[in-house]
Amino acid sequence: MIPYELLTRKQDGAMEGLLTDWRLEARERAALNVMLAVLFQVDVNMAVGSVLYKEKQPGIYYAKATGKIQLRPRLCRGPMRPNDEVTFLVRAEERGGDTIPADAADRAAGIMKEIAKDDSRRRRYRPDPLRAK
Amino acid sequence: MDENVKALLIPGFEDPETRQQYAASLLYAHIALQIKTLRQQRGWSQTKLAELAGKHQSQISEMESIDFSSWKISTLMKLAEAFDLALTVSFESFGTFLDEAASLGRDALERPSFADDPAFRGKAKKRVVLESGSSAQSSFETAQALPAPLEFRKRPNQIGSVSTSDDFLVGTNPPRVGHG
Repeated sequence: MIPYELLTRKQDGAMEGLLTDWRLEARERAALNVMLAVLFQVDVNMAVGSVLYKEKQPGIYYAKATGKIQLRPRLCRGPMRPNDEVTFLVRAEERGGDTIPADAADRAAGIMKEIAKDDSRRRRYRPDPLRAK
Repeated sequence: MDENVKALLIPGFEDPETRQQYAASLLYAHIALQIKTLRQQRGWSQTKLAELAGKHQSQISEMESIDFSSWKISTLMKLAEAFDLALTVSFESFGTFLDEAASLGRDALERPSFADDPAFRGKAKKRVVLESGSSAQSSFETAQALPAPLEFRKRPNQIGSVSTSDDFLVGTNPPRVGHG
């Protein structure tokens, strides 16, 4: 699949803030980077159920990267080409069975609708090797 | 390896403390995705695989998730038997490991079961005949189209042979005999 990231107001990639600025230990960072590496290589049939898990909101999924912190970023399939693309939308964690922020999926659904109207708000995610450490 | 995948993984391997974490996460992802790929390659549901491997469907669902980490060799062997595949476990250099474990596309993960394994195509032919009940004529034609099957045959003892009545494989390198 092709991962996309949102753009900030300064037109920078938002993945840095969404994922890589997370204060993570080595285990979480490894799980997160491996999860991203997997997404780059699998098709949608492999991804759903192994990397991406459905939320109740249509088109919204969460990904899992497990360590001391349970990383559960919210993303959507597409929205332009749902069988080929995923877009990272909201940073989220799970603690004690609760999602933080609690409305992560609803927020993600709102952003997905906005992107569907204006595709210029996102770009292909290309990881920076220096940030991956 | 894809440039994006390299950018995500290789920096993590430079640090001695973190490369084991990366290797573990990558191993879990590789196993989970290969199980799913092999199941889908065979057209099986999770329930069908669970039946064949002596597990519950919910366990198969968990095992197909890349963050599942409670692996046991005995479980992997049951899955290997269900898929009619061999299980290998080996220690590797990080470079070799990355080349294999970081290849997670469907093509890289699919494996033929024994019946479809080109190395044993002769046995595959026999199985097709038995299961489909096809005629002798069509069986013959199938056999003609395939390379010579591997067969086990008994050979009489030869002078200098260390073999007595052991079976050995015809069509591959014969056992070394007759020293001196």
